[in-house]
Amino acid sequence: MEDQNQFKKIFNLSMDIICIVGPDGNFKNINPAFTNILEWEISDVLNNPFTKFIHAEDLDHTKIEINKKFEDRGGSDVIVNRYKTKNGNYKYISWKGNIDKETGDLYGIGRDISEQIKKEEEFHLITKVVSKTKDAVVITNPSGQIVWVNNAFSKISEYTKEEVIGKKPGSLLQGKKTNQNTVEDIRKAVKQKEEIDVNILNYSKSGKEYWLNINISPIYDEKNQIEYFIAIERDVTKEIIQQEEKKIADERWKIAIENSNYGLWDWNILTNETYFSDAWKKTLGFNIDEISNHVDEWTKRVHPEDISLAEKEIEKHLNGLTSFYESMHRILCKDGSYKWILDRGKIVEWNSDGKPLRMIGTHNDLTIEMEYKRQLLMNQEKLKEAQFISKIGNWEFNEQKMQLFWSDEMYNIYEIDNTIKDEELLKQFNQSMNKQQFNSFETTIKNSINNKETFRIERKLIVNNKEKYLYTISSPYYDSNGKYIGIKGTVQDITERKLIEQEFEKIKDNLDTVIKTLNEGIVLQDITGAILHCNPAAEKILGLSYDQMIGKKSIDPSWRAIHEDGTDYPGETHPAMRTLATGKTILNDVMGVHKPNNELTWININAVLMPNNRGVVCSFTDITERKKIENIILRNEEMLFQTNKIAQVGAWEYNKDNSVYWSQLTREIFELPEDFITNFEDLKVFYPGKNLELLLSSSQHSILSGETFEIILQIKTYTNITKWVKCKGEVAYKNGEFERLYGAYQDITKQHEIESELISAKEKAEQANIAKSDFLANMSHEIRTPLNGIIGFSDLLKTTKLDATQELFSNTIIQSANSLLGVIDDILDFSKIEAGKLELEIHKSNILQIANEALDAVTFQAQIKKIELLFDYDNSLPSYLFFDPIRVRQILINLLGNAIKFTKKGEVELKIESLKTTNKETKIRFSVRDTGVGINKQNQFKIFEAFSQADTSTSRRYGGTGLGLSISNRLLQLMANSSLQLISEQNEGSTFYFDLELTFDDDNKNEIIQNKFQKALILTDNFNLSSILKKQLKFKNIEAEILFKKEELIQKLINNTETLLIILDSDFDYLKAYDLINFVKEKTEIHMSENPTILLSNSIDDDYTYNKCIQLNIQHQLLKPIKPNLLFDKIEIISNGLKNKNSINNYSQNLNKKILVVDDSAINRLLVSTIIKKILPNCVLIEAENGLQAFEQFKKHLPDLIFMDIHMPEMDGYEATELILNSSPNKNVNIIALTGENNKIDKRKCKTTGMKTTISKPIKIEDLENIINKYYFKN
Amino acid sequence: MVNYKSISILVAEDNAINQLLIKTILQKEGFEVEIADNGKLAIEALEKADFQIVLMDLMMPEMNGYETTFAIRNLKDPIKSIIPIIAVSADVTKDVKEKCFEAGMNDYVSKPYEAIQLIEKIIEHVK
Repeated sequence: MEDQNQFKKIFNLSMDIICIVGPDGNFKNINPAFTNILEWEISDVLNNPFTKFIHAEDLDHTKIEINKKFEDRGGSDVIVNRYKTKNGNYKYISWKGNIDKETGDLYGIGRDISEQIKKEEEFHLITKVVSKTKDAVVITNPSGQIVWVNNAFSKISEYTKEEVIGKKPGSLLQGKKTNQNTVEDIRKAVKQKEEIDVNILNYSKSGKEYWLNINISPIYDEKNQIEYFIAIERDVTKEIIQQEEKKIADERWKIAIENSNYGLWDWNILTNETYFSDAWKKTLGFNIDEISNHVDEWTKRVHPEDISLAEKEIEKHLNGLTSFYESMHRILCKDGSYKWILDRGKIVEWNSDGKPLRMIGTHNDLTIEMEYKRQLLMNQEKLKEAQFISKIGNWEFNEQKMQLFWSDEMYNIYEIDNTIKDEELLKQFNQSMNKQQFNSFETTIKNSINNKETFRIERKLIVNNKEKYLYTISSPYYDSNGKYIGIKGTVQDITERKLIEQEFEKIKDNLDTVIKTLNEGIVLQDITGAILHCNPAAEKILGLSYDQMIGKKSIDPSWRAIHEDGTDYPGETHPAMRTLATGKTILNDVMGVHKPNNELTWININAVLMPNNRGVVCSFTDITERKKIENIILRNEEMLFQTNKIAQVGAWEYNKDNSVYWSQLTREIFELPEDFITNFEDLKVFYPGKNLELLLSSSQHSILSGETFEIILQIKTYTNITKWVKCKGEVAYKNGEFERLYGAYQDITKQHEIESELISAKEKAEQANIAKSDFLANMSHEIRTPLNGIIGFSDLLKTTKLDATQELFSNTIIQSANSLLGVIDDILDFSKIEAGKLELEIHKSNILQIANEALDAVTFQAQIKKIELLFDYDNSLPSYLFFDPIRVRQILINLLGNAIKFTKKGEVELKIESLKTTNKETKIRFSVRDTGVGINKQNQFKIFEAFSQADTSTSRRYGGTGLGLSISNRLLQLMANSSLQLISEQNEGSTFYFDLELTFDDDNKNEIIQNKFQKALILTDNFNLSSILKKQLKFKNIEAEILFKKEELIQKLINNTETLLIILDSDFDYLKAYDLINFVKEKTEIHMSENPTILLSNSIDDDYTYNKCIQLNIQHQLLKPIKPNLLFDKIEIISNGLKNKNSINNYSQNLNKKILVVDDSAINRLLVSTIIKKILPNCVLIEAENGLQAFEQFKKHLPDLIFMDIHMPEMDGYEATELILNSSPNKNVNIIALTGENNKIDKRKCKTTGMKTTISKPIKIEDLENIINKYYFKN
Repeated sequence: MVNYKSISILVAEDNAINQLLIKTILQKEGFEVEIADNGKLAIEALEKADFQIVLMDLMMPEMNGYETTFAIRNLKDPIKSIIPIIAVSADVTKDVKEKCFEAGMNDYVSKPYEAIQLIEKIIEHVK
């Protein structure tokens, strides 16, 4: 009672639907949850069938499952179907049910899972959408391993989903050129769980570089824990490349300016990050790496007196008050000196608010010019000083006539009115001296007259109460007869000089030093040009000593001076001489002077007339160094001009007053005649059609926005030639108003022509390629369609009764059709590879299995040619690796096929070995060695090319398209940049090999199974085969001994006590293996069967081998080539067989099991029965000739095991099986089908009919033994 | 357990030789087979009778395999509209398999086919 109450409670309170359905299928009761969920009241459903409300599409499967439940045949535990609600909707209900065995009632419990299903559908939809988007989507777990990618990702990266799952995107996609800072940024963002949006350079699987814009953001679960990271990646390769190209173009302009020796800077106003060009740094004497990229490098070096002014100028420009920034200031150099710099700059980038972002400018070293200016000023000072040198007056006294003549200068010196002459003058002159002075003067003159010599005196006079110092030079003069006439001479007012001299006396030492250390050379010359005086600097600059110079004249031919242009500078035109001749001051004349040592010194020379025509002062500075620099600048300018000329770059300028200036090169580009005046309106004709519009609109935009523009225009020159030009433009404003547009034209006609040719050639090639691909695809379709008929019907033909000739012919048809198919596949593959359309499909696959399949494909070919096929496999390799199984098999088949094709006799060996293994990757070498014709050195390179073979005679002799190796090689390149390698000598055979680095994920451990054998004997005459077998057995811990003679084998067996595994090669030459066994049997007491024997045979001799084996009781066979897995399986079977042998016998003693053998062929029935009797001597054998008989026999004897032939008259095996299984009271009967060899269709059908397994005819002892072991003793 | 005899197959195929071939192969295994010369006729046949599966050639006159699939998937009869469709085509170009799935087909077999391949696929989808 309590149970019932409790059930009632549950029934009423359950959130899940509970319903009871009677054995008639009608509702007996429902709980309130039923009404809640499905809205039906109990009255609605009572006595209605449960199935009435199930959605039509779900009805069948629900019924099936319920029926199974009723029949107690299991059935699903959970049934999901759509169940109708009262208002006509459907809800997804997940049902569980059970049958009350007593009443036959079905108790159903249902749960509404509509929401869940909706969510799943939604999820599928989202997954579908995401997988179709063009942007690559990558989802990783919190530790960064990929859990999901979409198709676009695979398209961009060339990795399949399988390849990348579990890997980290970074390690997979980044490469050499990937910016490590970006990688670090991403890592940081992910670590700090922030969203990040960056551009990064990635590498695809084939090594292609591409730029991605990646947006990575974390996804949180409900607990706010990071569940995934989702990365959305857009291929921005194109944009990045465009940016790069712009950058390169900018660089080019920078380089041009760099060449002009201007320093260059590029200031990011927001970050203060500043690029200083190499020239900028070098100007200040710094090495390139000594200046960092910060504006402070500039700020801290500007002279403290200049900095505020410079910054004010920058401020003005930033505020838009000036169209460019310009400042002249001093900057501190590395050596502590200051240089004068003309600094100019301009804003080139603004943000959308008009705020300046970036300013670039030039840095021009004007120190030399400034220094030059300073020295010039000093010169003028000196000249003024020179003008103070006293005037010289000349006089003449005719003693006989007592006449005194004074020049004007004399009057000036004595400050006497120049109208006073002769006696009065003499009188006043005499009065100017006191008595003592007069006497001394008189004495001097008398001495002079008497001695007829020139006298020089220096006197101090008082003139107008002023002290004057006069220097007089006089000499007597005579008439033509030698008679004394009088005295004449000069007087020089040296008062000032005297005063200066006196001053000099005081500061003599200092002044001497000053003059001597003056850098500027000073030379005083008299009116004839003879040198009076020079300073040490002059000596140094001219390379002449004081003594060498004094008295020498400018017109002296030994000067050897030249003009700037290299022409002679005659002495007569020396600045000193010109100044003397014209009286004009000459400034800044440049002269090259050859020093006595032949060195050329360039001087900048000034010549100033001394006051009162007393001569000339030349001052000069050594400008040799400056000249050198100037030459470099000139050369650079010239080079820049030439470069522009070569690059065909010309300048243009358009001013606000509509005037247009075109540089010479621009005029050349437009082929303007010399007299053409560039006028805005007149120039319009050179821009045909839309080009004018483009130019005007670009200019307009530039003027309005301040942006630069770069456009490509087609122009028509003055001589009506069409050219292509690149036009760059930039705008300048003054006080916020448009001032001018300026820029450059570059003639790109040639590039443009080449480009358009390339584009059209590319288009043509692409079209041709598409046409080719289409054609090939089409051709392939058209050939495959009839081939389908040929192969299909030939296959069908083979299933009919054929005589030997007919069978041979039909096989030949199939073979030919298949090779034609291979050719088409090759051609198609090749065109896919050529078009880059071939994609690899990498799966986790078994390399051994693929190798076995490749061997199977060529075994027949090899055995027909009696070529020994060997397989040397390295068992230490991981079983499952990631690779494209179809393509690897294709390559192996190609190499093996070729090897067999070109080998007449001998062997072909496939070798797979591990070269290097880490814990997740292994490098494998695949090699195919043959003993064939070989390839000589000259032809080795040819064979990898498409459509070519070693030589043309090859295709005549061996056939083939010559595509195979080429395809294989390209496939290898696709796989891992691997390639085919070849070692070969003519007539020495060839070895083709390639290496693949493959990854694997699980531990892949090969279990070493303990077996019964420690020792094996191998009898063969093929040394290579024996060493491979020995190695394989060693892997299973079996020591093998290789024997080459039958006597050795017999010897071994006679002295043997332990169980040995004997492996016999049926190709054994000395004596066929079978004969050997026969021999042993007849001649010795040894029973070979006690030592399990495996016969290695060729499938081609199958019938013969088969009969022999039966005859000689050889139970174990392996078909060549020997595959390690099959060899190991065989050893295991033999090992287990030995263990079970006793048990079989024991059981069979005690149990009288019944076995039914069904076959329409009496021989076959006999064969099977005989073998069974051998294995189970005490079993009961029943036979039947067809299905009908079999069914009858089955009903009568109820056998435990049935061997059933398929194709039989009356009733075939399938029908009989169905009958037996459907009627059997003993459901556990095991029916084993006997099918024709390799008849896959039959095998497939047998399984679906309910047979346990199949055995292929011809029947082998071993197969039957295994079946009996498995099915007979299991139950 | 699948009884081959209970499976009736509609084959849309325009090439007479291949019609005969596929019919022979399938009938030999006990399947019921009906051939339609093109897509249009295939739809008519499908509307008239019940089939468990359609084998569909892709290149056919009147209506090709993709169009036919589209039409079948839009049939009013909900059961007929979801009938399994296997493409059987000599078109082996790169994306053809994907295109078949996108068009709503359930599988793809290339020509020339092996009989066992066809049968395996049929069993797989009829199950």
